[in-house]
Amino acid sequence: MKVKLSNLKISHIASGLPKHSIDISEYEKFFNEKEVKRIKKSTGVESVHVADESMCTSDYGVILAKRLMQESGFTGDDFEGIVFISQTPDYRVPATSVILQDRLGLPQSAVAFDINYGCSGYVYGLYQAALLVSSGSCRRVLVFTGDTQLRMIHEQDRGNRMVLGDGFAVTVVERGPQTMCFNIHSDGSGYQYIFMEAGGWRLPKSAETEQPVMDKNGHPRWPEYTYMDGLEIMNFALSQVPPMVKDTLEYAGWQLDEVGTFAMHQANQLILEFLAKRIGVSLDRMPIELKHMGNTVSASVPLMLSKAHKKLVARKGLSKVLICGFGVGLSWGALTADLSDTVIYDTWEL
Amino acid sequence: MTNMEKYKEAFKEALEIDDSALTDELAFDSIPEWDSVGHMRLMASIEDAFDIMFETEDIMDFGTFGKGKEILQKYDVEL
Repeated sequence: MKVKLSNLKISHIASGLPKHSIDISEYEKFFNEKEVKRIKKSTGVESVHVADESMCTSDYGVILAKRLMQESGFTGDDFEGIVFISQTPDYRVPATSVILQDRLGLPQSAVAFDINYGCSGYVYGLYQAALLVSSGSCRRVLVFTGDTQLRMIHEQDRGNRMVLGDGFAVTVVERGPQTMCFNIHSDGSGYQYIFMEAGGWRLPKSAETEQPVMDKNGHPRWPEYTYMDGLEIMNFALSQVPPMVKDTLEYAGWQLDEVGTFAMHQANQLILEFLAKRIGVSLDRMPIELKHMGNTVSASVPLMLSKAHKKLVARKGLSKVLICGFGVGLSWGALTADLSDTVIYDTWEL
Repeated sequence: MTNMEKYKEAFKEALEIDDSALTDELAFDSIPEWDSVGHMRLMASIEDAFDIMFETEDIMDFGTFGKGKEILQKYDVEL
């Protein structure tokens, strides 16, 4: 699906990380020391932030959104829509976005959506917000992305434990002069490659689902926790992302060398290096910010932009930005935007 | 350095293993070091060593030390 949506701008981006962080070396107590060092070297992740046990994703959303309102001068009344992209909602029913409408003081005339996506979620959230604004339904929409995902990773799942981290972001989409190009894809045949099998209606939690089962490579996976087949995800990312990026640029009428920043989902160091090589760009135009926060799924792009924005502003890299996400579903998408007038805040401690 | 030496060096460096492990039968997931993270690092290391870029299907087919030698022939790397 490709579409050009007009009368838009991304006006503000704010992101935050929980106070508590874990040095990956701490996992040497639980896993083989050599293994931990090897994974750390390969993924580029040295520490990750972990949500406080007493906090839900929406609690971080409230802190972040209220701080954004304080810094920007917005109030809840200024928003006519809210989109909450997360895999860790407060409840199964109702949608967390509706609860956030009340907690953030948005008017009752606001429209509220939950969207269940992970690493591609930022693109989905911006697309939904852009539809609302471009159609004239809303003047301004708040997009929340983030997860308390470490709770979904089993403590013995060494690969995911050492690369994933908790992080959150809010982005404001409002009426403006831009036309943004969106390019979104889905392939449900790969749904089992990133998968939390138990806990829904197809396989409710039970004594049986508490036990590990073997994956196709003979490794244990835990049905009540998120499983990821790393090799299949690498295959998916390298097969699908480079052609989709090129297709999006062609659709937007942008040349590869005109793009100031390729704001990619921060999966891990190696995948980003592979993608940069295959797309044909140097890493100075594809910033990597993983070292002290890991892969923060749907919040990874705005967190990267918050961390890197001073460097990106200095080299005038924000007027043509390609934002790209890929992951659970499988799903992948990209959009083009001008972020040169966007207020991008430094990362806040939450 | 011969191509074979480069090939072995890429395995040793990427997977942090010794010469003694390098047989044609050495396979993905047969040792803890050659897991999906190790595989990504190995593919990057071999691409750098021979200045090539693998097709994605070759990355997936690269299941053993021996199979890798066959795949490299497609990229005009004789071992």
